[in-house]
Amino acid sequence: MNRQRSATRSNESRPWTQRRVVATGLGAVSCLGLNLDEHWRRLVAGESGASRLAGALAAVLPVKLQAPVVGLRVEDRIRNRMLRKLLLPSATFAVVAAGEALADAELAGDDARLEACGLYFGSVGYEVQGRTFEPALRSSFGAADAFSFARFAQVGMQQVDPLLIVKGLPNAAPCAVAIEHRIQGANASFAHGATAGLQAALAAFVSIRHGIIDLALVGGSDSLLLAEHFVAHHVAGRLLAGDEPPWLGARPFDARRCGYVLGEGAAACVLEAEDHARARGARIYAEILGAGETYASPLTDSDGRALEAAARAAMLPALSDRDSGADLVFATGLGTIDDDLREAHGYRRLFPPSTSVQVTAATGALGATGAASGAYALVHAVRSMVSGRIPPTTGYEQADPRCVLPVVERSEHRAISRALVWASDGARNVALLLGAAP
Amino acid sequence: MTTPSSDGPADGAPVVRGRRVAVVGLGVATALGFEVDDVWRAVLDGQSGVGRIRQFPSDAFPVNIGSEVDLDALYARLDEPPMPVGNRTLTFARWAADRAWDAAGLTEARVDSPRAGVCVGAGLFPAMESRLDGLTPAILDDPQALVVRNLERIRRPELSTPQDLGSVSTMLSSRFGLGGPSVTVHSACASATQAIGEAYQMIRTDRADVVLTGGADSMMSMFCVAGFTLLGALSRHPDPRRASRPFDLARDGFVLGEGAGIVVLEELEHARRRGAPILAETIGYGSSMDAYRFTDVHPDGHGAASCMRRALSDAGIRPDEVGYVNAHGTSTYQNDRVETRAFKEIFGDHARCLSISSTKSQLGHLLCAAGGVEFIFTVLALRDQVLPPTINLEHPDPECDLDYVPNHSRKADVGVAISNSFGFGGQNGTLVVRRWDAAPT
Repeated sequence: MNRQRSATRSNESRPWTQRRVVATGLGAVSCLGLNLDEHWRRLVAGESGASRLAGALAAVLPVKLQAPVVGLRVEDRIRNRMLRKLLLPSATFAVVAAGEALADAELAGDDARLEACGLYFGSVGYEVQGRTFEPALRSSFGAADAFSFARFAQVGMQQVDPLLIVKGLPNAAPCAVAIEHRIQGANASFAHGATAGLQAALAAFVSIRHGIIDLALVGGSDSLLLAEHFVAHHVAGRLLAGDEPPWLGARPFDARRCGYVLGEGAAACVLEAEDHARARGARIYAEILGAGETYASPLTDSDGRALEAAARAAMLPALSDRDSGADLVFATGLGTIDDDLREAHGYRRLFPPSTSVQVTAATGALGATGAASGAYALVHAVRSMVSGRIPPTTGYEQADPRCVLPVVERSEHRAISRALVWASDGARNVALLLGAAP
Repeated sequence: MTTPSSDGPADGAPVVRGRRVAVVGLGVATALGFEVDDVWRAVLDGQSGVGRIRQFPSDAFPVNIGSEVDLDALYARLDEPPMPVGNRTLTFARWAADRAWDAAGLTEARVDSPRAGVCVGAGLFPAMESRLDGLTPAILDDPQALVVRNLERIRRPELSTPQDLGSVSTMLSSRFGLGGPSVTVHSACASATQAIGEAYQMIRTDRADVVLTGGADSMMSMFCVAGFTLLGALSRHPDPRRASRPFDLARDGFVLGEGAGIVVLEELEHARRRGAPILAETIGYGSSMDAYRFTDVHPDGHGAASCMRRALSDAGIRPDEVGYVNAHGTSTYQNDRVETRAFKEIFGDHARCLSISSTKSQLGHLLCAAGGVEFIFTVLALRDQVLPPTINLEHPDPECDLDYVPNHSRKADVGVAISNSFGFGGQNGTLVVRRWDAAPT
């Protein structure tokens, strides 16, 4: 029936009929917890999942902390045995968070709906540890300990994991989610770093809103705990050095901020058309009201104009009947001097000095979580809207006179009617506006 | 109660086309050349771009053939110095994007920056060759020495190779001053097709007016060749030019390729207003997931069939309106049989009337770039009304018994064509394109 109708459609340009899009399921795994409840409890308590980094990296670099996921038993959380053996950390986290979100939305095992369910995911770049190559390289030295391509071809390459390429691909996470949870619908995987998770949610939101799909699992996963990342982020001067207590993932917007700790994890959210959710009797947590996305060269956007533009586009639906557009901002807050200043400038362009719109950021609790970070912010915003509980900006203590923001310092109980979620990597800016469940 | 559907929104949902999307600019970097018309002519002539791999000393490797871009020749054409990091993917993307942007007439045009974006499929697998100088067993045995070596490499731009896939879309957004979406898609071998599909959605849903899209990739490195060889995925045919033989009974794997295929998509009225050279219209896109295994397509072809079905439904056309298919056609035993099975499922009796070809027979498998180059060939087939051949199709596989345009290009009268890509891990994409002079005004 659907096919017959579409076969008679005209190809002329016509305005879309827009559907309302709602969130109906949430999941997370992080350095704070192996499920959303545990993660949320520790997040609102202001805890941090940072812990001490050991080994060669800590011996050579001034970096002494990381924020790892600890204690995840894949045999308890992943059914597919092949996936248990194959998956690297970020894909493992994705499968686990996705499973929780689908269960929360009461979609787990609903094969008919999952067959049509979309899957939009922001994931890590190549997850390939340098040490993966070492056995093959070690077997490939010839005379005078010089590397020999011929010897690699004859001996060394036999030490290469045949699945090296496949399991390290940036789309390993969404593919694993699909295999484990039998999702077969429209899909896209974004791999451009810290905004990719929220970008995935934006793409799914637009597709649902315009009737292209009814339902999608969205999210992001990442593991930045690779030697290559530690070295690269350290050389860029972005990592928090030392290990003086308290161990924090960062000090977002704080006067003493000096970088972040690398982290890992995943968060996932089920989005669907409101009519679809109501028809299946789903519990609706919140509504996605608007979205915006911009790009500006970091060299030219130190004042946060591009972030402002993305947020303003997202808030367009709310600005028509409200002055502020949002009650609360779930920001990035990486804890670096320049990134936080740029976010603060963007915020100040959006909201007047007298505003009561507060800002919270989770990097102090979770560290930098790459493609997962925007997905965490989305899940935190939805959870806050449902629970009336606002997570604090862990690590924030002293206001920076150049970066004055109404930061949420302690967890609060307060009803939120509209939350603005943004992710920014200094160049790309993605924003979503959430409203209360319709 | 809403009934779930695998083909799109449930009944009762709004089904509206949205804005129309034109194809207005093309650019390539391939083993067969760097100008679209030159490469197209070579593909139609049945030339092969496959030869011995020169990127690293490959003589002793069990598989040492590939469809390799002549980087020196490309650098000779660039009016800028080589990128200090020497990254092949970025170089290919930059060249092809410049050509596409220029061909679209956008170099001199004023583009509203916030309404223009990038959505590109890309791969940047770490190439170890650049890290071997001075490496010794003693360094490998000393974890701290490895960290120090890593530090030194990253501090020297000439040795540092970016692995951040975002660098591809960042480079393109910054290069052309585009302030709209800036996205890197990675869905393995479906990356470029899915990127073009997402770019199409960006324009049709009014997120952008102009999007630079397509794909770029290079995995022409020793670890990638080793990994694909150990997976049993690569052809071991002794004659490089005859190695990629989609749908042939003697096919034994794909040939590794590299390059870029970048296109400019533009909202139709926007393109008309500025007098852009409209080459074709993108009218549909479908994607699916096999949800089966990481390295194998589902043997019943349901993932391949689903994305084609969704794309045709999205385009609002009947299967018998499609005249040409640029197949995924990898030249692997499994893909070509499964794809053929999916054609029969989707097109029914019309499958026998379809002209299908795999231009991987000429260029090998360009991985994340494959869908970009193949979308370009699909557009050119519609523009010129000539179908590229599947070369090396000498002994048809009885299980692959459709018309694959064997060995010689062919004149045709085709109004609508589709291009397929199926990725490792099970992500699939199909794009539907309509001949521009047959499109409704």
